[in-house]
Amino acid sequence: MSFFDEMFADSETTRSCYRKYYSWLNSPEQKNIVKRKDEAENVFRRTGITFNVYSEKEETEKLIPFDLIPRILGDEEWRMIKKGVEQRVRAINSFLFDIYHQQEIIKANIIPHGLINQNDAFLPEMIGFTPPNGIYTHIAGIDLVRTSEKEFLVLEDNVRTPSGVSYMIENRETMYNMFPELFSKIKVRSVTEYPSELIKALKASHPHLADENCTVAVLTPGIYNSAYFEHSFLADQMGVELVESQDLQIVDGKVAMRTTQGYKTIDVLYRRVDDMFLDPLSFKEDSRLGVPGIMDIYKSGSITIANAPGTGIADDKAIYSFMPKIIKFYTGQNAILKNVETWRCSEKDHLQYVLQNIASLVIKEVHGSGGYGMLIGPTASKKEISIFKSKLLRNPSNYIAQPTLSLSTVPILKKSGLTPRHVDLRPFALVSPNSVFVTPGGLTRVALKKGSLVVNSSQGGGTKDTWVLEEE
Amino acid sequence: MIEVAIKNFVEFEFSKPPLYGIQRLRLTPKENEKQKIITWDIILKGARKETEYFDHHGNFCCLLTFEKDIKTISISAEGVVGIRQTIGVVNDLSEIPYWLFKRHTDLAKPGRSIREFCKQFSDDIVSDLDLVYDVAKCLKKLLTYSIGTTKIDTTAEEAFLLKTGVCQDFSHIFISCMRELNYPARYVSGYLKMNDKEDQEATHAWTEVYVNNLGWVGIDVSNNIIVDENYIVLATGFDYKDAKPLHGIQFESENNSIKTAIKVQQQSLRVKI
Amino acid sequence: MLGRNAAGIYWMFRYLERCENSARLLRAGLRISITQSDYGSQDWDSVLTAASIKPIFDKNYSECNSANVTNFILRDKENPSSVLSSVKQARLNARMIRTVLTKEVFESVNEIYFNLKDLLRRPVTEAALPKTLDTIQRQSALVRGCLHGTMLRNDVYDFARLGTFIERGDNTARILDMKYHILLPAVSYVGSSVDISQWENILRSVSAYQSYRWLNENELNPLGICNYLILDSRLPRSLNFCSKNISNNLNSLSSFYINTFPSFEISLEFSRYLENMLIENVFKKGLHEFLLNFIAKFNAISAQIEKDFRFYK
Repeated sequence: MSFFDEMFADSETTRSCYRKYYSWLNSPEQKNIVKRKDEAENVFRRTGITFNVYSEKEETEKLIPFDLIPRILGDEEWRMIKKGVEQRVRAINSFLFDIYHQQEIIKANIIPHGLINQNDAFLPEMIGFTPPNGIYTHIAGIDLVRTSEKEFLVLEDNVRTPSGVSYMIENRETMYNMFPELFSKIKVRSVTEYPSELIKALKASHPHLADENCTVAVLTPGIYNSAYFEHSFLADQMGVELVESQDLQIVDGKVAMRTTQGYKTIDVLYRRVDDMFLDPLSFKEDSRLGVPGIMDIYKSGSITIANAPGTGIADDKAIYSFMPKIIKFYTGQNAILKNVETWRCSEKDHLQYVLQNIASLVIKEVHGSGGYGMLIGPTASKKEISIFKSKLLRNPSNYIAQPTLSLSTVPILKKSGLTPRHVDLRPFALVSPNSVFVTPGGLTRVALKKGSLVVNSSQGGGTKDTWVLEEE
Repeated sequence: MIEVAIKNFVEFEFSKPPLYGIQRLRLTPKENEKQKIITWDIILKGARKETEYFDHHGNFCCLLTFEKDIKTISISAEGVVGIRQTIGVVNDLSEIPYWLFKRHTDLAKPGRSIREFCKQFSDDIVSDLDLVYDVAKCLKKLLTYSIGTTKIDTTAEEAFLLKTGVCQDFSHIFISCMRELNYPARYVSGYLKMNDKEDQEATHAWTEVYVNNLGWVGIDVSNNIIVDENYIVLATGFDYKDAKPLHGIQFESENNSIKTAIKVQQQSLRVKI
Repeated sequence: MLGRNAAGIYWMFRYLERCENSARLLRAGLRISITQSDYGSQDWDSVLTAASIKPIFDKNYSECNSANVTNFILRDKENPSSVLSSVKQARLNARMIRTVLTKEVFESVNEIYFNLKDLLRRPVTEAALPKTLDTIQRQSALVRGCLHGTMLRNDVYDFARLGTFIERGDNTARILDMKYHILLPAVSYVGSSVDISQWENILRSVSAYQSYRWLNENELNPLGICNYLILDSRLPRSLNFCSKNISNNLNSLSSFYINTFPSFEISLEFSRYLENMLIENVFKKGLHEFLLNFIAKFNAISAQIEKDFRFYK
């Protein structure tokens, strides 16, 4: 299989957006750049940019490996991605509004109601309720893969609590610190405004208060959560409190946090706690991560919860396959960013096809994430395939299948020099009442193992700084 | 129209007051074409109202928190409700699509024995309504009402295997059967006015099944099947969990006891001209 | 500021202080044991007693010797106030309250944690001990430096200082009380050279030996030393100094929040009491009783701080 490499068009030529960088890299001063790898790692370790790995005994904090070679996107290709992400995020919000109100898309026979009915991410509590300003996904992360010069495909939508934005920013800070001269040579669009754009979007999501009177807080499950660093990073960067369940309770009809001087009302809560743990009175009764009664306050209109509960119905892997139709239905346009072809194993003929072609497909759990519980046909052993087949047959509707994609590669820096590895891209979008902001770039995840297509950090993936070049 | 006076009194008692206590009340009768509130009040002692709103089922909810350091907390929901005589069918304005009432819930999920039981009803149906009544009658014959055999979180399948339970279990079993047979069904909590007995210990529960071209048909498997003007609806939900009259959490309390006293009495009979 | 964050920074600095104190305690113990070979195990015993960690030690070790005590104080997970446990707790709190710390303070705590974890991966040999103890003290000085150099002088800073002084006062009182435990079995030592060298070690364990000599021209006597460690308001580890600073920080919180807190009133009263105390009266009352009363008072102030500033629900 041959792959599209983003740096080299062929063994002789560098693709245009990498040209300046590549000549810098080849300058005599950068001869020893590989030695500076540890430097970056030390920065991350010192600043505590760690993530927690589940089910490990002693050392639960790990660093995500950072590769020094940036992933570079040209202005033109970025403009296409940006438009596509905007379109998708708008369509997702329209879909969420519809599915929790009149459900026109079901009445129009575009989505079968069974798909919604069987889906735990669909929250009946949200039916008939309109979140402030009608916004459901204040923050969205859209996972893209590139398969050729012109083609970016959407692999997955993340509209519950997408993470990774802190790595995007810290990666850039690290690059600024390590290679300041590079950024005076090459004009790269900034990503460090993200936190101020985020607080703007969050404050704007409160319909009744002016900015200065609006109190925002970030809700974290606590320091043992795998994304805790990001939670504290965002709270810190936005200058708002990072709260936990134990800080919050209902006071005077509002959600309030316990300060040294008493309880203070929260108007907008950017929560990084999953729906099921948000309110023990409404969802999982034994949750100690949420706020009992917050749904009552929410439905009374006295707090904005970002993202809104119940958004998970839109990023489900089974719904994903309908996304082109969803975009067409709500925007009247064809999807700018294409989907990856997807077979829903819940459907008989699809299942049939999947079973026959299992060795060439990637099979994923509908609700899975983090790269767990999936089968990569081409690299799986016969035994693994047969075990997976029986799992699949036991509960077909739990699975979808996709072709093995030829993900593009970008070189990483090894002792031996540059060597290509597969990458994906997660741009982040912020939705405000009148606009969608897409941060220029996003998080590039890279599979560090040779030939591997799994980029998840929990599975040994790393990250790269992602550059979008200024218009020439 | 008849007028029914209701008083639902609940008292929490703690030997050590909770650090924090919160309750979601669904103690205001749900209004529909069959029943209207004439007066209704919720009187709290040792607790304060935080907010009130209509939930997704159209139930009127009131969220309250306990006052600090108080050992006795009481809630009294009382008022007068006007009931029209109907054939036991209602329609309401909840935006929840009917098909969602076919979704199985944790408490009303059918297991093997309920699925097996339902098989006898799949052939030669006369009409939807007949089938609904058939299942209800069949269950009524099969099940024995008995307090203390089941718990608050007993599932439909567990109760069905025991063949006994209380109104909550009967409703869950019936809901589970109806959904298994592809009918939308919902849980109803409320009051049953009895001619011989004004004082009651607990709220009642029954079921509503949605029948096409008709509406929500009330069925009470623990009594005489037909839901008539003696039934006053408090709240409806997918199962007990989202229709329960009181739902709350207390943190770090000790020796709590809950006392409930309910009075349901007919006030007068008004004939509309 | 969140009550939980106030608790976090307070405890972070208590733990950092505890970490440093454990290192000091060990240094003093070590000196006692090498200068007085006859009573080695008994002296280690008093070190453990003073730090209130003797029961846990006895549960985990059969013999009270230098190697065991060193291991226990430096790196034993079972010992909640071991250097390693304290620094772990300090970092845990730092992570929890990252949003109120400057980058410098957070990074210095992060660094001390990783360095000490590395340093204490294996038992520390007697030969390597002095250097290890130096590193611990130097690393915690770095955190303190970052605090003073970068943090805003607001409520956050006051809570950090409160944690430091509550822990430090408690520790100095316990170390002084250690002398009581050493003395107890053998009254005959009083005034002997053994007695004097014990007092000297107590000065060393709170890093006050050098300054005591500056001020007293090497006149080592129990009354003078106690006066210095208890009442001298110039010595940053004396009880009087700690108490005074606590009431100062609570005073500054009172003006910051425009409120007079009960903890401030208690602490002010107590610091006035110490200010007017004479060392002769301390001895008349009994040093041990005086110290127990002091420790109880500090606990009470700490509990009142938790309440006044809503550390917990």
